[in-house]
Amino acid sequence: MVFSSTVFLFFFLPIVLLLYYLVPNRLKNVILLIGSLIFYAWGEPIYVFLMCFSSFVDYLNGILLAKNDNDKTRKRYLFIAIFINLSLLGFFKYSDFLIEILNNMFGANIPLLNIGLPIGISFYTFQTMSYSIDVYRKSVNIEKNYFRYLTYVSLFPQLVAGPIVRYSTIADEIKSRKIVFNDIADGFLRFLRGLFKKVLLANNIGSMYEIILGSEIEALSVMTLWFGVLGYAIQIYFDFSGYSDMAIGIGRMLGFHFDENFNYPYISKSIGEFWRRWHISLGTWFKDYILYPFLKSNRVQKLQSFLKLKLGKNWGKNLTVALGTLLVFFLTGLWHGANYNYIYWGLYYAFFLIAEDFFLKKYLRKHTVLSHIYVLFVVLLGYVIFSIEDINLLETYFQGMFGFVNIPFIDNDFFFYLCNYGIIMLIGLVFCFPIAEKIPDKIKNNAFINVLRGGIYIILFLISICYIVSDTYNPFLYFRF
Amino acid sequence: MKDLINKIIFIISVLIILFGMLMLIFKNSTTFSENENRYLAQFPRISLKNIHNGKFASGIEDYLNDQFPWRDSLVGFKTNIEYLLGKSKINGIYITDDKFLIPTFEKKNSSEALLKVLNQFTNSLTIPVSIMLVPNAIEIYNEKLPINNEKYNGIAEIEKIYKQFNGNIINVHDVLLQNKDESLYYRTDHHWTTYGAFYAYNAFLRSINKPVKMASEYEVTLVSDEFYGTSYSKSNYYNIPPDQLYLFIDDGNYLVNYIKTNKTTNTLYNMDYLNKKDKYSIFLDNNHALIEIDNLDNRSSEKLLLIKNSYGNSFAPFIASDYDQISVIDLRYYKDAVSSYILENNIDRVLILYDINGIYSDPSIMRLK
Repeated sequence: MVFSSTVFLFFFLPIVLLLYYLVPNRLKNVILLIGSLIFYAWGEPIYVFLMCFSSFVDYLNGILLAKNDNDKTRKRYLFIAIFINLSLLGFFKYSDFLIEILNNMFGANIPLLNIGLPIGISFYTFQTMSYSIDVYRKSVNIEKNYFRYLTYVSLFPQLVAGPIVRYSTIADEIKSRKIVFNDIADGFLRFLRGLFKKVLLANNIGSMYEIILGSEIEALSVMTLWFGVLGYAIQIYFDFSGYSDMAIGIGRMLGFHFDENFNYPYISKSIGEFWRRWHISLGTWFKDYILYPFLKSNRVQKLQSFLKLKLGKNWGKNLTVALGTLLVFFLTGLWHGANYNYIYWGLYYAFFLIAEDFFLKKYLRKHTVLSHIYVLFVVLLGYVIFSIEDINLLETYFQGMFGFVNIPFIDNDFFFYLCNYGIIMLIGLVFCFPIAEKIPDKIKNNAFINVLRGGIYIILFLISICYIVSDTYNPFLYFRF
Repeated sequence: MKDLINKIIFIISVLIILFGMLMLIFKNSTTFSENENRYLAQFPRISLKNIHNGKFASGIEDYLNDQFPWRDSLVGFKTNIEYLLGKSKINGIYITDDKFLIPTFEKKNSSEALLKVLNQFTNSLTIPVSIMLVPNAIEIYNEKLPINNEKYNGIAEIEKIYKQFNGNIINVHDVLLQNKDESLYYRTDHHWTTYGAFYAYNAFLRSINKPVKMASEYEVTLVSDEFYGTSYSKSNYYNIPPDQLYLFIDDGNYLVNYIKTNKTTNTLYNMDYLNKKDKYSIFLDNNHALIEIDNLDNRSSEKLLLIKNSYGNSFAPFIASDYDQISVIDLRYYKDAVSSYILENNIDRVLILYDINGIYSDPSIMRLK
């Protein structure tokens, strides 16, 4: 099921919430679990069982880890759980990619499996693995009740598209939550803001880039190519952050407090900062569960000492961290899709992160305006790599953007796109900035302004309903995860 | 204050949602949408198979959207907002400043493949074959177009085909361009008006060296001033004044045989359509595979075969008066070999009539033989 649909807005959400608020506290999780399973099964009935199985593996792992104190045994249990989780993810998501690689390498002709990707598998696998790892590290208490654990994993606000909520974040709340009217109202408004982002902004800009990508390169101009990527940048931000807003908002209405997943990434002054503001739950997951263990492992520590000896303290440290960054971003890219272009995208960012660590950071700190332009430039080009799976088309698009194809700099079609999508993109650009924070409290509490704000929310809600009812174009870009 | 307003927004939203929910549950479902000219989704069948393959889920979503209360107003409202935000082309239809809906030009068939089929057909016959390719509103009213991303020039495409066609060509784009100040195309529909067809008819008469007719020779009747056509439905832009539909009625007597459906009438028009939305179907009762129109006044002894798409429907009544019998074939529905029909029925002349956008987007013309 999709948040921005009639069935969710007018049936699923109100019915589940009503039941949820009415039943006594001890039954609230039951409502959530049943509702979440229905939500997930709505689009993919068969794969519900896969998700239940995946979460059972980590739940069981937690039980076993708690019962055992032997370090070696505990490591083994953790390894088995992670292995099962990653095997499932690997099979359902990456098997065809692997088969393609094998076919290309050995000239074989193994047929593709063409398995459908279970929705949200990348999200819930990482979510449930985080529990196993945290229990192993003894940084969280185990959940003894499987149904409560399953409720956490399958929680419908964040199951299909994040944020990746760690068990430790909601360990207390999953057992007992306080639900106040303030939270319900504020949570709903957060949900509405996400809905507006997705339905009014992202969906509308979305069709433009798709049209541009579908056109022959000869029919385009340099300005159109750049304008297209700009549109994609705005679309994907509002699409994804909108979905996170809706998830966090509904979570709040249920009494959960999830961590923020986006923090105005486009105002970043460095790529490092960008990755601390974009898809925060994924970045922190990789940092806590891949980067730090990697850097703290014996072998890497030995390497770092060796390098520090040979090349000096700074170089030794930076090189080791660079290795970690390469690993993490190779995996980050791969997480986003089973295709070469995602790996290139990850490594592309790794390059800039490493460059910043080594020497760029100093310059960026001194030149604010240039650093903003630098980030936007890097991010825009990154989106080209991210959005085009066909490597030949990717090459052509880049060549076109930098004038290596015989196309005009600007043409009539550019003005067509500017006219048809410019205003909505401009509105989008404005909301890429944290304007709400800049408004002084006096205005925020002014009666007239608030009534105006209320009216705008209601009007936008009604307009969103118009768009939802009449629009068949409603893709979520991160749904292939 | 802020918290209070938040709570009020929440409460109002809840009321909106509850209202929508109740209306969706209790409103009787509509079967057909006049505005969108299509059948609306009904409640999907509940079966284990449907639930398993996700069809039940998507069926419910289609059902809820299609049956949503005041759907037409909501869809129209959304289109208005899109137009306000700068959209010049919505669902493939351009909206001009003077409230004219002009469909975009789509090219799916290649001109080489098309010419091959047309020439092969023409060469296989001994009788004269004429072709009339009609430009669309996007060519004739090109200057009305708002900012656009059109790739093709329909008139250039027509001339490209005319250059290499082995039969007789009838140029109607010149006369239409000359008279563009008149209402030659509907503002809410993709067809030409009866006036447009009339000018083309005169072009046809000139091509066979017959004298042209004057409008005064007909009883030009306004049969509807509330015609909302295909572009209206497709764009969902409802802020448009309706079109007027005229008939050029002559004093002839005709017997119209709808061959495949065994229906016979003595009128070229099905006036029932005036009460429905798709009023253009009044011409030759919408689309039939094969229609034979007998001229009971027998002013001529020749038989003409008109191979056409819907543009030919409003053209047929004009030529019906000049021949003993007109056979009208629509390749979208006529699956047999046209050349057999020509031989079996002693056709004297063939006229192929399509609009240029239509002939380029219609796969059935490639079956012509």
